[in-house]
Amino acid sequence: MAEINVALSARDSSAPTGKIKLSARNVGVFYGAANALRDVNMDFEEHQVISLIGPSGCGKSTFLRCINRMNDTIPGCRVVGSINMDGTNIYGPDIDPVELRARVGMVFQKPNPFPKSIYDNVAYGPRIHGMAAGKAELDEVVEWALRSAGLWEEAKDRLQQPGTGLSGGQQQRLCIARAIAVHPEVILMDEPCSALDPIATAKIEELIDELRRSFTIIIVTHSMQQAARVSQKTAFFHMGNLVEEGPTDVIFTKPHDPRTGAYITGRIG
Amino acid sequence: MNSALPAAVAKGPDLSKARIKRRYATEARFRLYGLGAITFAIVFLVILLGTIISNGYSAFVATTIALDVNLDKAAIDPDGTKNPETIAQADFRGVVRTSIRSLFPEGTERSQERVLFGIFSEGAQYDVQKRVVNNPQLIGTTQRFWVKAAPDIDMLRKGYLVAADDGTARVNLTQEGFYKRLEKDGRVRTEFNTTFFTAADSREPEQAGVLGAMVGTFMTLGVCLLLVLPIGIAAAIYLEEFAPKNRWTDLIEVNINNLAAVPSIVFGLLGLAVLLNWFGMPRSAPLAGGVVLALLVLPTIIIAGRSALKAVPPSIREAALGVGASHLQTVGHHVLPLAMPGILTGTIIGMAHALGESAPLLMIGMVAFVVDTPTSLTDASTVLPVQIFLWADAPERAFVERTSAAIMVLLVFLILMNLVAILLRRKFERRW
Repeated sequence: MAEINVALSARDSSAPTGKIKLSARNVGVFYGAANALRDVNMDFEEHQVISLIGPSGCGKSTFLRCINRMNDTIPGCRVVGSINMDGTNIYGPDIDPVELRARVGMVFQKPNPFPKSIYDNVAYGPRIHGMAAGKAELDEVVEWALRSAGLWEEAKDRLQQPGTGLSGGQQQRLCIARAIAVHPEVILMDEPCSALDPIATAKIEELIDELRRSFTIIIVTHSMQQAARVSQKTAFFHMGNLVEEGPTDVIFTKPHDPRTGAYITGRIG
Repeated sequence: MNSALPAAVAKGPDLSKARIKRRYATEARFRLYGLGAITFAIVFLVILLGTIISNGYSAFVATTIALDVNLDKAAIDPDGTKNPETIAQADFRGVVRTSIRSLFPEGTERSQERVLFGIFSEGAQYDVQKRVVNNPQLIGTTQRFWVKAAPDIDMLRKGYLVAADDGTARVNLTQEGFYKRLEKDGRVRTEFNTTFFTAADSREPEQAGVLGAMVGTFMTLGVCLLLVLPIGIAAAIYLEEFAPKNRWTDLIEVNINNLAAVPSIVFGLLGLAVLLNWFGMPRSAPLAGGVVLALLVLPTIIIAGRSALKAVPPSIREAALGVGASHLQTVGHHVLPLAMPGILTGTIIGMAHALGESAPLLMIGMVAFVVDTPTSLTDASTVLPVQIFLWADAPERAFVERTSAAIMVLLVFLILMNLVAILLRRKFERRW
């Protein structure tokens, strides 16, 4: 793993710095006339795992998709407020969502590898962004990404086989490798383990903790245990509102808002 | 739990034998209806194919008669020039007739001569002429030619006609007598009808073939495909992936769906009015035919293309957008390749539809009687379905079997195209 750590740039210091990576101000989302998310104000620190929890339809996924402007692709969806990334509003007029999505990667609920080879899955991002100068460099990027996603040992002998032939957990790690291959600053994960068995889930959770050293990770999850295990900070959403946010241990042990306590203990949701 | 159960709940489900038996009986009845419907369809298909094949198979063979032709130097090339042009001008009709007379040396009356000559195809002289022009060395020798029998004799041999002297029969007893003698001499045989695949249309059934119509069909479909594939795919991608959803695109969508249901003859009228009268395209040409057919199948292909694009799961689009691909890259790199088999299947089925279309082509003059195989897109030509239409109209008995044979050729092409569509779908079908 030594060479991987070398490959991680100076930006990737391993300890949380306390620096604010993202800050959301008065973010709201409308689907047509329906107001799906109201007035979210929240800061995200660098090199932390932040989990967004809440019952179905509470707006947590909607909020996640605001951060890489994935909501732009949904017709009739309108986002208000601002999200600053390193001090720049990503909803500003001179921000190109395509460029933004190279800096903010995303992993989806269901593993969705392209129906192409494992190699091409990982190499797709670097290719379209012109990252590698040649085949050798691209090979290096693919190996690095697969190693970082903990998939190299399983995949190195079958790089040219279709990514859809992997098991569910491997597919999801392939999707993580695909996301980190373009070396984003933030990785968004939308319930990445909901389609996986407990063993594959444990592997992904281990990986998330590993990846925290290089990336800022925001994860939406329905599993309280998962949020408690992987995240340093937790935010609870309910009916389109951000109810409460804070260090994970505080949210889970001494929540301020009665709704948070009720959700965590399983009384609402 | 409520203490008082509703009466219906307390009674419980009715599991009596009679009721269950009735339910099974309904199912059995339904299966029987389905089986009946399929049997009905199969029976009619068999009747249809059976009629076509039993009517048409005999067109693939032709009756030929051995004729020993004396290639008299004095008649063909008296000056001994060996010049193909001079030879071609010679009176081969006379040469052939002399040879026919010599088959019956006892001498026939002049009135019977016409009957005698009528046994042989009018095209016999051209066969002889062609072979002599190609090989002038034959002049002065006697060569055996297997010349085609006249269509009536062919029909007589195939058993479709009966000779009689009542004045209405196509073959009278005298002519049958001549034919019987030739047959007894071993001068008559049945061979594979190559003319049917190497000639274009003709007034004489024994000289008519489907090659002209086949070439015309290929040219027309080629023009059609060249127009339809890029335009159809571009329109489908734009409408499905890029067009904003508003009243205008709704209107366009409704209109495309309606266009797919417009009677094909209307497209023919459009072609006549716009392509021929306004743009001045040549009449009866594959170029105009291809454009008209393209207009006809374009809606079908756009609809098929859109549904193929729609069938690509959104997760693939999200994955590509998620790593920072632009909209066009997402479509070009991922969505289109996955939709392509579906689009191609739709295109092939659309082309098969175009292959069988005749009505719109009638309007732009492709119904013309064309004896030459077309060599360019602006040559007058016809297509297989129109050829079938023309032959079905012809009064000669020999054209009846040729009509069915041409239908068989058309069906073979249709089956091949559908087979390609099925194979493509099998090969590229993906499951997510």
